[in-house]
Amino acid sequence: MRRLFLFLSFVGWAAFAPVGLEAAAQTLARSGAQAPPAAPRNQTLKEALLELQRCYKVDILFEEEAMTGVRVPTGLLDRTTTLEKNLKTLLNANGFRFRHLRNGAYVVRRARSAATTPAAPSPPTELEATTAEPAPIPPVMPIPTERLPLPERSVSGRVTDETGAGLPGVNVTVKNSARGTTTGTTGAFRLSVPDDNAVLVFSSVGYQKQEILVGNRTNLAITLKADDQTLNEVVVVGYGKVRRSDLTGSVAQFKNEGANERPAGSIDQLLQGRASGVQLTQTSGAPGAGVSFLIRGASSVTGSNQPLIVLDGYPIESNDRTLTPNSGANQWTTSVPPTNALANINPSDIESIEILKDASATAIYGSRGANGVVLITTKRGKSGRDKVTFSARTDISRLPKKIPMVGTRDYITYANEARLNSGQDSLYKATDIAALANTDINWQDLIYQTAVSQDYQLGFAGGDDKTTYALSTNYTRLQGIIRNSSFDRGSFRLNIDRQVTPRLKLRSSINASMSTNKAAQQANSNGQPSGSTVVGALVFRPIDQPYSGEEDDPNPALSGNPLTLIQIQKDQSRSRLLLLNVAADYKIAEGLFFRFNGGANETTSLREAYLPRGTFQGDAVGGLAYRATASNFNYLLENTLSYDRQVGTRHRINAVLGYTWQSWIQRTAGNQATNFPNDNLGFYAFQIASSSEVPLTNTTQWALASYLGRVNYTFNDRYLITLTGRADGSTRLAAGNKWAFFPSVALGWNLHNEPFMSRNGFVSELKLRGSYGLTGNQAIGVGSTQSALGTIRTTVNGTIVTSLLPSRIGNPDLRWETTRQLNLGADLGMLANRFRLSIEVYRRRITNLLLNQALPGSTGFTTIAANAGEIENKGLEIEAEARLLTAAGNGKLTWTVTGNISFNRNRVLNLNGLQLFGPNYLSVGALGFGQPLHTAVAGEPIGAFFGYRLNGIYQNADEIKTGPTDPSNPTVGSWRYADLNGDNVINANDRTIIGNPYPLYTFGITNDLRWRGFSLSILVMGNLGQQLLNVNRYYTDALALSTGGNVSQRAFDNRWRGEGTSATHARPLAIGPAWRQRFPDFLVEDASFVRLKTLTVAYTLPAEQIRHLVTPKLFVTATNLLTFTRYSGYDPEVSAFATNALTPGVDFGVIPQFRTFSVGLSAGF
Amino acid sequence: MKTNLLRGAGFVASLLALNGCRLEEQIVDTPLSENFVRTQSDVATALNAVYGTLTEFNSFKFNVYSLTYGAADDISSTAAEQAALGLKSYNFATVQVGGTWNALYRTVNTANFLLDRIDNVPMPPDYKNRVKGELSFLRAFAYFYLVRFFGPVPLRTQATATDSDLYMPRSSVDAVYAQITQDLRLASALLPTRTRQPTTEFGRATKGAAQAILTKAALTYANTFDLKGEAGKAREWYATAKTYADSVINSNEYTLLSYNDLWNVDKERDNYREFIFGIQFTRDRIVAQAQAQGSEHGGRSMPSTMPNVSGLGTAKTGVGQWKVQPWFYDQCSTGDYAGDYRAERTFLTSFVNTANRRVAIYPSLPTGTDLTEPQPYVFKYVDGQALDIRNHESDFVITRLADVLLMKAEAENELNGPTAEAYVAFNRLRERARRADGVTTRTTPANLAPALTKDQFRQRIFLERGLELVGEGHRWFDLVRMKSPEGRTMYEYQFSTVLPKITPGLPRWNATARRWEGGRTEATNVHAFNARFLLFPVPIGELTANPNSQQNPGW
Repeated sequence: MRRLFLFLSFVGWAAFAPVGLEAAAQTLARSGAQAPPAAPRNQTLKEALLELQRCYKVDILFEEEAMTGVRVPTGLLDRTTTLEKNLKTLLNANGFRFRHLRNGAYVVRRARSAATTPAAPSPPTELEATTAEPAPIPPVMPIPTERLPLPERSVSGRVTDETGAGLPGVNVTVKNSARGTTTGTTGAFRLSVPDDNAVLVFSSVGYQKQEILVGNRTNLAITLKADDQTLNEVVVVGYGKVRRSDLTGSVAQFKNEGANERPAGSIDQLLQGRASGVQLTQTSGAPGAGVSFLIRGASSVTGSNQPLIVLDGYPIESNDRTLTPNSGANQWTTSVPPTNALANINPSDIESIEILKDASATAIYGSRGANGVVLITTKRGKSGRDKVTFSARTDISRLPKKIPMVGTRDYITYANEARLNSGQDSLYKATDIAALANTDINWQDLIYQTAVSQDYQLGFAGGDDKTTYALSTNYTRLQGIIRNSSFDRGSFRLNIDRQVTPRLKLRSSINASMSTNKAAQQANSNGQPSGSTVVGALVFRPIDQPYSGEEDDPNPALSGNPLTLIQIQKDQSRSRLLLLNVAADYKIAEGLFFRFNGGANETTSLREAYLPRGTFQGDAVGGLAYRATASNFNYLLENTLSYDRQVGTRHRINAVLGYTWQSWIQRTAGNQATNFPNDNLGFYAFQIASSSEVPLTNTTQWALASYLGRVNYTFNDRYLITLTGRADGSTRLAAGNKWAFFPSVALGWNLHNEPFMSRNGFVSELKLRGSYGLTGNQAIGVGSTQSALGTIRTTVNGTIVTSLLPSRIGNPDLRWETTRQLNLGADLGMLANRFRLSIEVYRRRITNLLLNQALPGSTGFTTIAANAGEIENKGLEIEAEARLLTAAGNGKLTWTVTGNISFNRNRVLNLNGLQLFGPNYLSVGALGFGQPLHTAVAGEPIGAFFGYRLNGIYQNADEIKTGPTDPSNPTVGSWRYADLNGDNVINANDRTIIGNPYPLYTFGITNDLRWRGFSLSILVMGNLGQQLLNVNRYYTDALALSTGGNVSQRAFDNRWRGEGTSATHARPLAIGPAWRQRFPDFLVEDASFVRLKTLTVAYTLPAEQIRHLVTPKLFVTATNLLTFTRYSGYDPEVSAFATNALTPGVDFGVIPQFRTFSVGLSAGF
Repeated sequence: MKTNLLRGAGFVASLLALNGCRLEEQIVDTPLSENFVRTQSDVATALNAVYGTLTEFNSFKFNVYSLTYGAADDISSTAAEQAALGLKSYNFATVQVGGTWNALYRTVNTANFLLDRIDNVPMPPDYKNRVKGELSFLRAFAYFYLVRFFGPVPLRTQATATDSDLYMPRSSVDAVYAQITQDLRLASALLPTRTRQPTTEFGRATKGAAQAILTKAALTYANTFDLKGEAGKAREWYATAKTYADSVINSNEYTLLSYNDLWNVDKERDNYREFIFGIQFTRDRIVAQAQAQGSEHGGRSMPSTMPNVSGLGTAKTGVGQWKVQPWFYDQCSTGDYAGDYRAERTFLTSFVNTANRRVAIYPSLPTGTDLTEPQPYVFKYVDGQALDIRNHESDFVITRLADVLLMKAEAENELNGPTAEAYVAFNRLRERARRADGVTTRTTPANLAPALTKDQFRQRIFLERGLELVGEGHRWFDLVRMKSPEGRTMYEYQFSTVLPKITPGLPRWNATARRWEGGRTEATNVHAFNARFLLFPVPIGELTANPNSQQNPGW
């Protein structure tokens, strides 16, 4: 046992040792296994070592064959001194050295310097023979040229495509050396080669690689063939890669090109419009804001719908989150946009993204795969010449449109009319009107700005044939279109790969980034307008004085005005991301690899906010400071065995088997203080506050253990089968339900490889695929299985104490949410895949839905975590690519069109007879609405809009009298609500589904055109058939003076002024709540849109003109240049509360999307 | 080869072992129910929590008392949050209605939680009895508010657990009252009197509190029979009410203090010689605003321009949301009540504002540059030291001796007509009112003139309660339980008969004619009577989550 342990720990040590132990994985003879020697006058080194081992009772490990024939004198050993001294004496003279292992053993190896090696190379032993099989990497590095000067000579030439046009940017390298160059704009190159035997390798994306023996030629003409072998492309799938032709699942691929040319704050923004089945909606136009990321529709009611994001094999934290104070400032706390966890990763570091959609692809992620999986591969170095790349970009962004609100003259008319209509005296008399003559403020002008943003990227990459590296650094500063808001990120990534031995390869990644988000306050469902810059800019009146008169200070008498939010309120979040990952691949036998993958991911964030006097909240409590930190740490340990081999000519097997463990711990701590003597120091000095809250700390931990396996078998390149399974055990679930198994099966048929098809030159690819399987969702609060206590504060005999009371009722029966997904797909390629088409249809059924089921208040609780109900997503996805013009090369135009369209229908099948509601909206402030706007009910999509239908305006008293009874006391000119249930009373039973937040379909079309050095890329995308809930209009169109706010020009112009004057807008009133405290379908708008998302024009300068620079490129990009929509709000691409599946499609106080013009350059040398 | 395989297997196995595989959930930052209530100190903590549920925003800090204020006829608010109650535009989704329901059931469940566990905790029997008494009191207290607001309600007498029936139907009003009276009788038996209560437990339920609430519960229950014409049952419960009222009065634990001092926040503790039970609030230096342990009825009741009355800004003003209907002020300051100290002390009709200008409130007469306002304020919850507008020291008094005396008079009147005993109890309030601020004395209000009929006497009690207890959360309950001169509820009488006769609109000061013109009530708060307003609607949360629930008639 001890021996085994020793062996294991040695291997373990070697695997983790940083560098330099090339021999580690080679077979080492363990000396203890040898027989004791006789005592000749001089002995072999091996014998001497064995003797030392006996004397000192230690283990000494050595490479037996390395010391064959080495002999040492017998008298050399001195038992009175230390083992180390003896080893030194024994080994140094013979060109060996030793190392002391942590467990007490010693390892002996040959010293580095070849010069001291005394013996000639020994004949290969049996053991070496097994390692001498062809390795994937060339085994020997050539001797550096400077050591071995050879006659050099120069070779030049030109690389063309099949039409004869010069090919720029082709990599030309000397095989087995670091030497290389790139062709210029005409395809010409020149480089020096060591001798006539040099082999040049020509490679370029989209072309077949070619190797040419130089021979005695000095001028070469090379023609590269277009590479249509896309079928042999490798696709990254979970825990491995498969050939595209062997793929049975639904995987969308995205190659990240030109990320630095577009303003994308985070990687998810890059994907917008470019992959089918993926609906990405930017939640807001705030810098650093999140993206609502839905793969094949919403599937969880309570939990996150965010797909699992796996970065280079490491599942990372990707949920948006915000640190919010635990009590007090309800109107304010959740008003900031959530932090987008992905914004900490530099989009330009990404090489490619694979999106796993169907069960066959996602089942390998088991309980985490239900929302789809996004596999991100970062750029790694390639052996060859070192490359330095640099890019810089500047963006100029503006708000494309303002909402027309009334000015002072119309506002006064409106206010007076409202008062008169309510039987009150007019509000503004002639003198008031005269006094206001010079005041006409458009608050939107005060809030928005032209934002200037910058992005800089600097990258180094290269390597030799054993070590490759890629290092990138980035600084981005995104300025918000709301004044004083910004997002800054600096990031660093270092990927180093090392072929340690022919069998062992190490891959390591270090990613560190820091960001600072200065947020402009948006809105929360509570609806205090003074808590949102955007709502504030709409509802503050044109007659309100924004400035105090002294310079540009906000008017303190106008508490809560949006200017105070951006000028004197401070709210900033800093976050740091550290992601360390090491993978070791050990080749056990041909095609059989063992991989250890481990790493740690830590994200820490600090939010600091101060609301001084002059803000609504600051006024109420004498200044409010909040400071909180959160640290999310998780580590991953993964062991997988993979097997990928062609067996015979007909069978190909790609299999993986593994075990993973991931464990998380989250810690947060928050402090809040109020009653500051003055506002000078803000959150920097809590100690000067008079009151501070009990700090809130949380520590949450959970873990997931999994066994996984997959076999992908291909017979004769035609028939494919994939079996996948994963067993997941989670700490979050109740004992007895902790483990679950998620299997899937998929079949595929490559028809194009059938003899009857192969004669057909027209069809180059035709594959049919089908899969069925299970995945799960672990999105359930930690601790949900157990009943827990909460704190409550109580006054006892005049002092305040904290006590405990039941706050959560545990559900010991909680199980995984399970998704069953059926997917059928077909891939068609024509004319050597010049035209490609993929079609997928799917049905996802989510059962045992995990949700916080509402409990009747009479239980004393509000919710319980439960498995209840079923949801279905059905859909169709089509992706197409056409290389319309392929004649690549100088002077010729190439044109590629790719497009995708996705249809998804989301429907709740049942919820155990319950109807769920979203949170109550606008429950504070002057509106007092306090009702949900969303519902989940059988037969409807999750989070469908729920409210009353309007049926025009009461034109006369008779209509009120003869109409249904309305207890909300309508008067002539009031909105008329529809009596949907026919009971002749307008009440809550007349509420119904009044809108669907999900689009009927989404599409994206990309056109790429290249001509000479110019390229043009155009992305048009659209969401059609979606509706939005324009909550801003609850204020601006209510025509209720009691809201205290301004009205939109449209509402004002269309207001009711007598019978027949308006059928769309009510009569202004001064008394009574807005909309008579009902949520009307008036606020639901068609928000279909088609937009020219990005348009990039780039020009690559002829390299010859600028010394040392390779492919210098200038580019100009326009983002959101044109938008076609009927939506009346700022922008139809919005989802204020996207983190909750029950609140989709809300536009409320959200910073809108903006139009951006970017200009920049990139270059390399 | 074989050894290689073995080694490989061992390697993998060792890494698996290294990774570990413990899937037991460890909750380190949240106390779990299963470990709680083991010791006497746990019991004290859990009991504190039940009281804590009463001071939450959803409970008496705002929602519960706002229903009693806003839906009555004497006080109204134009602030949108509360306006719906006075406008009668509230419905099953109104925040205050749902909040009230949830808050009171939170109290019930928290009390049940400890009641279920207390018998297993080793501790001195007298303390255990006291705690049981308090828990019984608190549970009954919550149910008594529930049954009055909502009628039949689900009756939970055990803590809700995963295996409980989570979807309980509503029990009958009779069953709820049976539980309330049983709990209060038990509390009355187990709890110490005010003077015997340990000082560290000051403010907690006492025998007197249990009996006072039992008086009110019995009286209210009797009223329901009375209104239904079930005289026998009514008598039975009127008698119970009288018995417990007498017990409180005759215990001599409580006394009528100076009416002036009753609303002096600095003397609050001393006032518990008259206050029998109150919701304990205290200025909260740690947490501000809605979550503070301070009360917020002061902030909403005090004018927004009067300095040093509440906690807004450096001027310490209130936000002036609750205001008195002018007709109600008139009723409380004329006739019997002309020159009544209580009206002077209770209603704010003029003040000097933060800009040092006098504000004359109806019916005060402005002079010179005085500003005017049309509606007086209830000036009971004044706290110039309030930390913010939701953070006052002022307790919310649930019942005090004056209330019990009037209940005694009422019960006696219902049983035996306006006997001398009934007059004596009633006139103790008049007598105290004549003592005015305790220093000077007055001749008004005179004792109630004898020889009233039973109906007349009841009507006088209604009016007396209106003045004496204004702003203390009694009015709406009195409206819906008491019988009017026309035989139906006082609520119907007020809305069908009294209010329509009042000139609608608020008073307007006519500077030329130097008189208050206009109406005497907010026009928007006068509504045709509808029987559904006698109960609040069952909130939407209960209705949608509980398939066994039903809505109240008319909603």
